[in-house]
Amino acid sequence: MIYKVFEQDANTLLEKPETGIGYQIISAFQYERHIMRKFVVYNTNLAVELDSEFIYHKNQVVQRGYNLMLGKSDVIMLETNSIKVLKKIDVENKIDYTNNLNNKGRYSGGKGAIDNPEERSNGTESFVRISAYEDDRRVDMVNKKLKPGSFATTKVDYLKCVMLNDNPIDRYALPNDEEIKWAFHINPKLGDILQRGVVQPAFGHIGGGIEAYFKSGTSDGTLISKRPYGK
Amino acid sequence: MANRKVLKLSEKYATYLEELPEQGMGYQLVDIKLKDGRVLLSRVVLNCIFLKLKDDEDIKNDDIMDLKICDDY
Repeated sequence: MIYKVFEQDANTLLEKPETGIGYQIISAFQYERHIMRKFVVYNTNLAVELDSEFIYHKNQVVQRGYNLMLGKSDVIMLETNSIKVLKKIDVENKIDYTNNLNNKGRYSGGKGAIDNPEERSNGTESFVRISAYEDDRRVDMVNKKLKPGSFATTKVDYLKCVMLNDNPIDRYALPNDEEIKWAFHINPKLGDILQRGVVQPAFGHIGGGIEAYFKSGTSDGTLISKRPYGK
Repeated sequence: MANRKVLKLSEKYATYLEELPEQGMGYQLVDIKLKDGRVLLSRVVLNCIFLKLKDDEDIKNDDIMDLKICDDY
């Protein structure tokens, strides 16, 4: 997501060093939400969340312009005292969001989801579980949620896979022989725990897609829809 | 199921696997102890219920003594 930084927080950022020319990578708690989040902040005013959708949103800023995006974005308030400016090295071991493995938008570097730290959903990010099975047993259709210990991918990565006509079995390194036919769309609630990472090579497949692991599953009501894959 | 051989596990094992973590999107790796003493290691189960078999394998649910998630994962 892209946000306009609350004015008081922007003034705080002005007093802190940059991470690079014209930008700061920061971690901070969102005001009254007790959720630690990371952002790349441009010119102390425009914050792009540093998650798996970062490249997509950064490209929006580049293509549509800083001022336009600043005018259109919701304001985000941070716990001012929690704002920390990070050095590049603090985030270098994370997913390499700038290095796509191939022109299908896959990623290199990083680790699998279960090897990365837990984070809490911001309540706005969407995920998709792809499956060869309409009756996927990891999806609780009664309580409309993902069961504990289940994987999904981000909606952004799923859309890349579909729109770039990538092979999902290779992208997500699946041992399936059956065609992927279904997509379960999930919007975790604020605070649902997940770990995200890059799919590692397995079963003769390259991987490189984004995976998200929900150790505790997702909250009730987070399964939004079941659709044919790619629709 | 297309192409490859699979064994549809009994509901007992499917229910057991549903309660345990996946190792990737849609699959789990399990170790299986057969009644004839053989042990099958790191075998793929899809959707908590479909055990992937090798082409020359002929295993039935009655052949299975025990099944558990791989310790390595």
